Amino acid sequence: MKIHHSSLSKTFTGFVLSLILTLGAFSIARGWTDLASTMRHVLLVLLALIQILVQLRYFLHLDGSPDQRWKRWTLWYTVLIALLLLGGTLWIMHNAQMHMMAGMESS
Amino acid sequence: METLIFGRLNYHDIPYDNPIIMATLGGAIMLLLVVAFLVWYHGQWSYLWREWFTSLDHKRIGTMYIVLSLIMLLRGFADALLMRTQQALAEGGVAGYLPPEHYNQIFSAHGTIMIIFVAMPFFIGLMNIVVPLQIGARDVAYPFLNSVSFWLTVAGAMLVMLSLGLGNFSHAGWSAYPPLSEKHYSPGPGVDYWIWGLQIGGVGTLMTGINFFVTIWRLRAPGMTWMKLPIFSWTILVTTLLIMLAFPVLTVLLALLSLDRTLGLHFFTNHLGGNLMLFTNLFWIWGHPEVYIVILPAFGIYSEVTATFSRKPLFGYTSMVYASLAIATLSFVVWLHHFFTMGAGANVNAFFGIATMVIAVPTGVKVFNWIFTIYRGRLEFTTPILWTLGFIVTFCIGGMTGVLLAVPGADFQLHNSEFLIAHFHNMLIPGALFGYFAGYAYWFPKIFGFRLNETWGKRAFWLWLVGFYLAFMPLYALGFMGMPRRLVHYDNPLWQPYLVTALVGTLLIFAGILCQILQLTLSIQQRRLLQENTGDPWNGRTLEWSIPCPAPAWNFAHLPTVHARDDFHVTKQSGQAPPSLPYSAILLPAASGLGPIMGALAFLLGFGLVWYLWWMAAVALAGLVLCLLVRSLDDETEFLIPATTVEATERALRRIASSPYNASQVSQ
Repeated sequence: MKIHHSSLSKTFTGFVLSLILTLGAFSIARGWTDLASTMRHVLLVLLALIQILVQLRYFLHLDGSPDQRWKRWTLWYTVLIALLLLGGTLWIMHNAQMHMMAGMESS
Repeated sequence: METLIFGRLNYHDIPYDNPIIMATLGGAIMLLLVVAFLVWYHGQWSYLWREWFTSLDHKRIGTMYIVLSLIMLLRGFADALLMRTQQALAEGGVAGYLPPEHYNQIFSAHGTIMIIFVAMPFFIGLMNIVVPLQIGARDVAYPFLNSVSFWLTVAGAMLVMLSLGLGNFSHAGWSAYPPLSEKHYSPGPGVDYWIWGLQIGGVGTLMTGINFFVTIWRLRAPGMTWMKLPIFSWTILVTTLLIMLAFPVLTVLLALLSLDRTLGLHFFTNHLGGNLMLFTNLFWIWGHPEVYIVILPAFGIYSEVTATFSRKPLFGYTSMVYASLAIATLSFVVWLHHFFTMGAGANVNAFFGIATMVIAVPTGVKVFNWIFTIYRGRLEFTTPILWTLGFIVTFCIGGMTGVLLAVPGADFQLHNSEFLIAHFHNMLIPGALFGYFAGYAYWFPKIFGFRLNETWGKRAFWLWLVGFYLAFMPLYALGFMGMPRRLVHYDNPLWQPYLVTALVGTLLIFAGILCQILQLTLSIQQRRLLQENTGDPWNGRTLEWSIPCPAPAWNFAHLPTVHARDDFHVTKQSGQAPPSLPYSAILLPAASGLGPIMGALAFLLGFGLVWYLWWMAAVALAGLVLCLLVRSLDDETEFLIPATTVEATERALRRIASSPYNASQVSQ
C-alpha cells in the first residue's frame, strides 16, 4: 500500500497537535503551580481526553463517514467497557477503603 | 562481576536434593532426547522445520497449538495427581510425601498451566484450524503474526516448564496475590517465572485475538452476512473481542508487579502507599472475562456438534448470537464475585452478586437451545456428541453451584473452600475441556484425512465423565464440611474418605487420558481403515466440510459464495453438483523462520529477566526489534502455487472420493 500525500499531511497535523497537547500537560504539571490543584487535575484530564480524540482522528483515521459505522460501533463498545471497568474499580476501591482503612488513611 | 554475568543464577538453583523433582526432570529430559533422536534418526528435522515450525499455514499452526496444549495437559495433570495423592494421605500423623513449599509450587503451577497453557492453546489451535475454513478464507488476516503468537506462547510455556529444574516456581497460587507475591515475601525467582511466563504467553494471546477478530471481520466469503456466520466463528469473534479488552489489563498488571519486584516500586506493597487490594481488583478484571474466553469457544463447538449430529439446524441461532454478546458484556461487570470477602460494603457486593446471577440467564438460554436442537432430532451417538451430552448435564450442576456462590452471604461461608475448587473445575472441565475434546474428534479428519477411533474415544469419555464426578463431587461436600483449599495437611479424619474418593476419580481420569493416547496411536495405525475420502465425514452443515480431507494448503481452490446459513447443507440438499470451474494460480503466505526465532528470543528475554541477566535480556530485546525490522523490509512474503499444481492436488483428493474402494469404506 502506498502512503498517500493527504494521509501523510494528516499524520503530520496529528503529530503536531498531540505534541502541543503533551507539552501543554507538562507545563500545567510543572509550571502553573499557583493554580489550585483540583483545577490542574481537571485541566490535565481534559487535555488527555482531547489527546485521545486527536489520535483517533489523525492516526486511526476515524471520522463520521457512513462506511465507518462499524468502526464507530466497536469504539463505543470499547468506551462502554472502559467506563464500566474504571467506574467499577473506583467504586470498589473507594468502598473497600471506607470500610477497612478509613482511620489509617485520614492523613 | 559475577552477578553482572550470571545475575542471581547459581548451581544451587538446581534442586538436586529433591528426589521427586530430579526423577521427573530426568524422565522429561530422557523423553525429550529420545524424541529428538528418533526425529533425527528418521531424518525428519529439516521436514519439521520447513513444513511445520516455520509454516504460516493456519492449519499447521493450529495443529502445533493443540500439540503444545496436550503436552502441557500431561504436565498439569501430573500436578493434579500429585496433589490428590498428597491430600488422600496427609491426615493426622501422616505428613504425606510432599513438603509444603513444594506443594505450594505444585498448585500454583497446576492452575497457571491448565488455564494459560492448556485451555488457551487448545481452543486457539481449534480456532486456527476451523475459523478460516468456516468463513471461506485461504488464511488468517495476518499469517506471520499468527506464527509469532504461537511461538510466544511456546516461549511462555517453556519458561514455566524450566522452573521445574532451575530455581523454583511461584508458591503464591495461580493468582499470585500480593503481598505474598512481592519481593519481600517471595525473594526467589519463582514469582518472576510466573510473571514472565504469563506475560510472554499473554502477549501472544493478545495478538492472536486481534488477528482472528480482523480475520472474521474482513475475510468472510462474499455473501456471508453476520447472521449467516457459522456459530463457532461467532463465538470466536466474541472471544477475540474479550481477549482484546481483557488481556491488556493482565499485561499492565504483570508489568506493575514486575516493577515492584525488580525495581523496588510500590504499586502493590503493603507499605509506602502501595495498595495490594488493587492487584486483586485488576487481576479479576482480566480473570473473569478469561473464564468466558476459554468457555465461549467450547459453547461454539457444542453448538456445531449438536446441530450436525441431531441432523437439524441449530435451534435459536439468533438467540445464540445475542446470548454470546450478552455474556461478553456481562462478563465485565461480575469480577468482584471473586473477592466478595475483600471488604467492600453490602451495596457493592449486592450489585456484583446480582450481575453474576444475571449472567446465568444467557448461559441458560444456550443450554435450552442445545436441548431443543436435540429434541426430535435424529441424534447419532458419536464421540463428539457424547462429550456434549456429558457437558450439558454436568455443566448445569456447576452453573447452579455458581449461582449459589453468587450470593455474597453464602460466599462468605464457602470462599476459598473446597466448594469453590469443585465449582470452578465443574465449569472448566465439562464446560471447556469436554468441548475441546469434542472439537478435537470432530475436526481431526479435516486436518489429517482420517477419523479417530470411536471405540477408544467413547471409553475415554466415560472414564473422564465418571472420573470427574468421583473427583469433584466429594469436594462440594468437603467445602460444606469446612475444608479450605490448598491444604498440604489436615487434622480431620472425617475428610479423608472424601479425599480418597477424589483420588480414585482422578485415577479414572488418568485412565481416560491413557485411552486418549491409545486412541491416537491406534487411529494412526488404522489410518487406512479410518481414511476419510469424502471430505464430509459427519454430513456436516458448514463450509469446512465442502473441501477435501485433509484440507489442501489453499483451503478453497475456488473461493465460495455464500447464500444461506448452513450454506454447505443447503447446497447438498439442493442436489446440484458444484460447477466445474477452471483452476487458477493461488498466492499463499511463504514460510518464515522468524516466528520460531522470535519465540526463542522472547524465551531468552524472559529468562534474563527472571535471573537478572540484564545483558541477556537486552540482547534478546534488540534481537526481537531486529527481527521485526527484517520482516518489515522483506518483500517476498508470499509464494505462488501454479494452477496445474492446484488442479492436480484437487483432482487427486477428489478422485479418491469417487473410487469404488472408498464407497465401500463409507458404507461400513
